[in-house]
Amino acid sequence: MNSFGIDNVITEKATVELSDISNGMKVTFSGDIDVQNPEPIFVPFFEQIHNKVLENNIKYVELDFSKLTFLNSSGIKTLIKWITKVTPLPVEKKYRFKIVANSEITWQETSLKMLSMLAPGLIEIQIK
Amino acid sequence: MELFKNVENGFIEMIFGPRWTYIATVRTFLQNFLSITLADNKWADVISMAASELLENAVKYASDEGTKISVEHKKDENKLFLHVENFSSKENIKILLSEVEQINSGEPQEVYLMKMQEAALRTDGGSQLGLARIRYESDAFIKVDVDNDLVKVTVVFDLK
Ligand SMILES: Nc1ncnc2c1ncn2[C@@H]1O[C@H](COP(=O)(O)OP(=O)(O)O)[C@@H](O)[C@H]1O
Ligand SMILES: [Mg+2]
Repeated sequence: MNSFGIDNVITEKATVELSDISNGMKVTFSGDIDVQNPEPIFVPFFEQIHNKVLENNIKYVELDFSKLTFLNSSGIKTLIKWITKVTPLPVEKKYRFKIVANSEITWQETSLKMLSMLAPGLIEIQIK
Repeated sequence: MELFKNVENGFIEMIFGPRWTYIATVRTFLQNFLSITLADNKWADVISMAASELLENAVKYASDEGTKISVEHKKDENKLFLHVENFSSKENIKILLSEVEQINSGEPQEVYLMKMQEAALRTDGGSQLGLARIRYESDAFIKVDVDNDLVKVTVVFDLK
């Protein structure tokens, strides 16, 4: 469990876990996100995290995709929705993301790099 | 009975009903199979991702039974052709044709970024991201053939 009291998302093929780290929060993705409509599953989860991050004045969120083997375009859309919630915020409210990608999973470098282009200066990418 | 002795060009064809559960199975199969066939594992990943996105569309926008996927590896040209066929409505076919025209007309990364910005504002189920993603991640050419309510989407990967 995390200090936000937010339940992890566990579906048949994917798990998304929220945990506390020393300088912020971490979201760990694993498995395959390939359901027909991921929005009702992930959008409310990301929204809860976003609201709590603002409430607690947290400035750093790490998104670790290194164990995520597949993500369909509808899943990418749910991440876009989260990230574009942060871009219009005033400077004092904004928080930063770090995206952790796995170089052995081909789509990650290309797809995740594009996410960082949506919010220049707000997202750092680490490829390992 | 006949068995091809010509193994110059590899070929795979699968036909099934428009059911979501087939998609992951076909994606995994293609990824495993192509990683043996093609020297570079990167292509197996990219092509199976593209197949998965196209099959999602074929299932989501099907107006009738029948989904067909075929993969054709033309070794002399060093190209791989991925085709996905389904039946669909006039409305979706119209959208598909204009989407593909838009995607092919711009620089892949710019088009994809623009589509991502648009997707953020969409409240319907669709993302309009799948085709732009394929083009951006593979640099492949996308083409559509229509015969009444039958649609064939082709992606051509230049394996060089
Ligand atoms: N196989 C298909 N048959 C009919 N229409 C299609 C097909 N593929 C795509 N389309 C149309 O093109 C649009 C764009 O497809 P895509 O980029 O994959 O976005 P999405 O799947 O999120 O809607 C779809 O919304 C649909 O209207
Ligand atoms: Mg799609």
